[in-house]
Amino acid sequence: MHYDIESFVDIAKTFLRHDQIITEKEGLSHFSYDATEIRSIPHVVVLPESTEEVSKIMRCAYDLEIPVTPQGGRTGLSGGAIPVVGGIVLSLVKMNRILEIDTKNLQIVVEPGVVAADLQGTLKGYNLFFPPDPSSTVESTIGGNVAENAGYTRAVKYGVTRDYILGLEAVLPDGTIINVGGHTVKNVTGYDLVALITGSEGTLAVITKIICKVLPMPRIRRTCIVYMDDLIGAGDFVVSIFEKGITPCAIELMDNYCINCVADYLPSGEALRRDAEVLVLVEIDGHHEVAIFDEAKDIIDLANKNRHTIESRLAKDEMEAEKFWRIRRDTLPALKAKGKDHLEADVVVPRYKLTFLIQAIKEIERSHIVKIATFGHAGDGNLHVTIQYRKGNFKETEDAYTVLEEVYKKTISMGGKLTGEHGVGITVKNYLNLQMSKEEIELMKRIKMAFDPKGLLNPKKVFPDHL
Amino acid sequence: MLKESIKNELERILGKENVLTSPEALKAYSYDGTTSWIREPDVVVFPTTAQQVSEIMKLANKEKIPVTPRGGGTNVSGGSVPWLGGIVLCTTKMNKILKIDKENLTATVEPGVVLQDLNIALAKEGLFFPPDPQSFLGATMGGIIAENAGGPACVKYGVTKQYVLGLEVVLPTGEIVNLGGRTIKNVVGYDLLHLFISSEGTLGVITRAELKLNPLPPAKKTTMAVYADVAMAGESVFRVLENGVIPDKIELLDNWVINRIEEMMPMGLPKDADAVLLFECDGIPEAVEKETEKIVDIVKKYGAVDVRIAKDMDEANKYWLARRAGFAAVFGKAKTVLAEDVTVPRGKIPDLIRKCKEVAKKYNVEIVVLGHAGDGNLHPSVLTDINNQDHYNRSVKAMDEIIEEAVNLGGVLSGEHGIGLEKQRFLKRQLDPVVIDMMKKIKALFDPNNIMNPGKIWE
Ligand SMILES: Cc1cc2nc3c(=O)[nH]c(=O)nc-3n(C[C@H](O)[C@H](O)[C@H](O)COP(=O)(O)OP(=O)(O)OC[C@H]3O[C@@H](n4cnc5c(N)ncnc54)[C@H](O)[C@@H]3O)c2cc1C
Ligand SMILES: Cc1cc2nc3c(=O)[nH]c(=O)nc-3n(C[C@H](O)[C@H](O)[C@H](O)COP(=O)(O)OP(=O)(O)OC[C@H]3O[C@@H](n4cnc5c(N)ncnc54)[C@H](O)[C@@H]3O)c2cc1C
Repeated sequence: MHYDIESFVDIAKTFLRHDQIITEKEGLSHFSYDATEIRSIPHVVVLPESTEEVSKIMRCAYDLEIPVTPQGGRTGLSGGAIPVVGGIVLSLVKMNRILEIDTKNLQIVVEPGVVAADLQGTLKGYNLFFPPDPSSTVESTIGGNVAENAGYTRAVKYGVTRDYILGLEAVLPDGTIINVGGHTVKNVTGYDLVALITGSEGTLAVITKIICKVLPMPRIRRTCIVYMDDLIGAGDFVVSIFEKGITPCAIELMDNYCINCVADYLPSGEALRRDAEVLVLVEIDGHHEVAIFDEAKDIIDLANKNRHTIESRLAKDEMEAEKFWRIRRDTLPALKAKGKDHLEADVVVPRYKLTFLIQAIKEIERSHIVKIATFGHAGDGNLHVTIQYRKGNFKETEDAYTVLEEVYKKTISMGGKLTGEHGVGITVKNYLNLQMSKEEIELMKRIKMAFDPKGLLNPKKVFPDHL
Repeated sequence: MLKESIKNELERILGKENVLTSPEALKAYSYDGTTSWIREPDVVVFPTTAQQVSEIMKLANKEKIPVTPRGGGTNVSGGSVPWLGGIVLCTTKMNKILKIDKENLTATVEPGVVLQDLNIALAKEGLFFPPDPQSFLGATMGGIIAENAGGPACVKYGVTKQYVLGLEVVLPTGEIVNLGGRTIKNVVGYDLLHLFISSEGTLGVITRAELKLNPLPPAKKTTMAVYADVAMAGESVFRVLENGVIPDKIELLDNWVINRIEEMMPMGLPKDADAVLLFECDGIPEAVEKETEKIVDIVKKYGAVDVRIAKDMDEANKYWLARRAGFAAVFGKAKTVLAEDVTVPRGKIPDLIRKCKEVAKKYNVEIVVLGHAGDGNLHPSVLTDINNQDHYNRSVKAMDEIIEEAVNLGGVLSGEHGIGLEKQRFLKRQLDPVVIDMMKKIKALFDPNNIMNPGKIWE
């Protein structure tokens, strides 16, 4: 495709500084990838600093019919920020101001380029926190998190990103600036366009301002680690916690292979129970010491009552809790350290089905040559499946993709979904048909058309290549 | 007028007993919880399956007959009034609870299930559906979802949309589609699910819902704080929340409401108080005790002249019954009530209340204030009589000013009741024309012939 980049750059120069426009090769390559291994070089990158600049860029691209790909921290795991057809990358990283912190109403207003960890750091000073905080917090932007409707370990108690977005300012593909939602927790004035734009992966509008709900920082947290010898037993343990009326802020789970990879990877790995079938990490938080201590005791009791428990421990202090979390957080790097290529799935099933899904995946693994690791958010049924293979090996590659499709099909048969938090982007789009009816895809397409009649905003994402 | 052939076709689809055209029936379905919007349909139908709903919609779409979905008809914005006549599609015969899944904390329900019935069934399993519109004796899950209803408990638990995981809906063109699913997380494609929630029956008919539930909290405690100045009560609300205490309910009643309650059911509420706040904390017993103590400290510090803690469930229930009776009293005391549903950021509650008082004086009308103070959602209501032209006109002006002020304070004109017919003329004050346009475009995508609850939301 040939785009009139020259005219675009000429016009852009009339309202952007030199350093806000990148056209040279080395510069461009920095914006060609995200956390997937997919790459595609844009023709030009622009770094606006205000909504007006975004609007002008969009208008100009619209008139010249050049595709635009919005980009945040480029930590996406489904390829949403990659400019697959070239054209313009619109990077929001310079719109990174926290505009307002309103402690009276427990809400904040931020620009999309604010890095999640920076926001948390600032809020801490006010004794507040913004619950949706994906593990990629040090690099991911709030705009990217909203565009992906990102999840995070605490989603089981606090809900997903969407639950915290009260209002948005966004720029439509033709440059029109819109405001949707507002400053109130309740709002039923017309259709919920906030929810529609949230999670639309940058395909409907460019988010330029975000009004979010924040919460007072919980004062106390307690973390338990439980090793068990049976997957279904672990699922029962999780259910028993909820039945007790306790909603933990995190319940994470890792399979035996992940435990062993981390044990190999961590210097202090010998402390891990390599023999365990599954590791469950449970964390609770709150404002009242006595209440939280009681709940922690209840959880340990429940674990010990479960006949599949091999070992259970309550972290005695923050430092030990941090050690427990390290095991979970280092899972991905530990898997990577095995030196294989990865195919990842982010499937989600109703909570209690999670361990059954893992069991089914182990079953799939048995009749294949690739290795499968599973870990994830047992509290909300979201499972990360990592298929390890070697790209150079044709048979393994073919096998890996076969396994991926089998995992997707199994998930759907259990009432689950193809992606719980990472989004469809490029990597999942061609599996969409497995899940959605023709009618639903058609409705989505019509909505895309209503927002973006020329199909210029983040093209070739979300929708399957062939319908 | 309904063509005979269409009536016959509807009877073929649904059976004679599920198609009503008698004058009494048409009258019974001509209004909802509002007092000022009345319009008769040509026919009322009671489908029992999604398949039937689909056939009705296909027929209506072909013949371009308006269809207005209706649940309990309790909404207070004119949403289920068949403004352009045609078919009222009433879901009350689709009232089965299909599944309660204890392990996953979810339930599958048909749209006509009444909230109270659902919660009774759930309580047996130690579960509950948190959003609690005070019309729970009559409101259906379909109507609650279509309005994204709220209620007192939304301070802590959030609104209906946070508890809907999936919907089966019949589009205006008759296709049956499943949106969302049964999982807490789901980022597959656009969020059509949330587009449907709060669409007030204008995009399709909800025929099944997958709901997220919570375990019933083991303990609850109610506290009443009495104020000599209603604006100070407003301040206490955000002071409590700011201090990290999140009660599940914070409700406000003003002097007028207090006195009506005392007339109806004397329970020793302080008749000279300018306002009372009702707090409820829920959770595990230790936390509930601690939070209640903290609330008492904070409200005393910020101007409460008296604080009472309900000693047991009986006393607590009395307070909450009074709160519900209060809202009903508003409607019982005047011919016409202009009940508003404005919502402002919590910190702005005192400003809004002050404005209400000022406006009441200016136009010499009675304005009652009560509502879900905890989330900034108040229902200032002007008591008037549509037949008294002068009084009514002044009341409308008063209402306009209050809405204007709410929007200026960063608020919205409807927090939970929806736009329907009642709030249409205010929509433009809050939303950009481009945004309204976008909504209209979306409406047209789903409903090319504009047969689904036409005449609602925008003028
Ligand atoms: C180590 C690691 C851990 C992770 N952990 C989690 C996790 O726990 N939970 C989770 O959900 N994800 C996780 N992710 C995935 C990723 O971090 C999230 O998807 C994140 O939300 C992406 O944010 P970003 O700023 O990097 O966005 P990008 O990757 O730059 O973009 C993501 C998508 O958003 C769009 N976009 C970005 N900004 C805007 C904007 N302002 N307006 C419109 N569209 C925009 C892009 O076009 C693209 O489609 C993880 C990734 C890594 C590498
Ligand atoms: C005394 C009283 C107290 C109230 N308290 C509250 C409160 O605290 N919080 C609150 O939010 N509201 C409250 N309301 C308003 C009202 O009860 C709610 O709006 C309720 O959600 C409506 O439910 P319903 O079944 O009566 O629906 P209806 O009134 O029949 O319909 C409401 C809307 O939903 C649509 N609809 C109904 N069923 C379907 C379906 N299956 N598919 C698609 N669309 C459908 C209708 O077309 C209409 O637009 C109160 C009302 C009264 C009278």
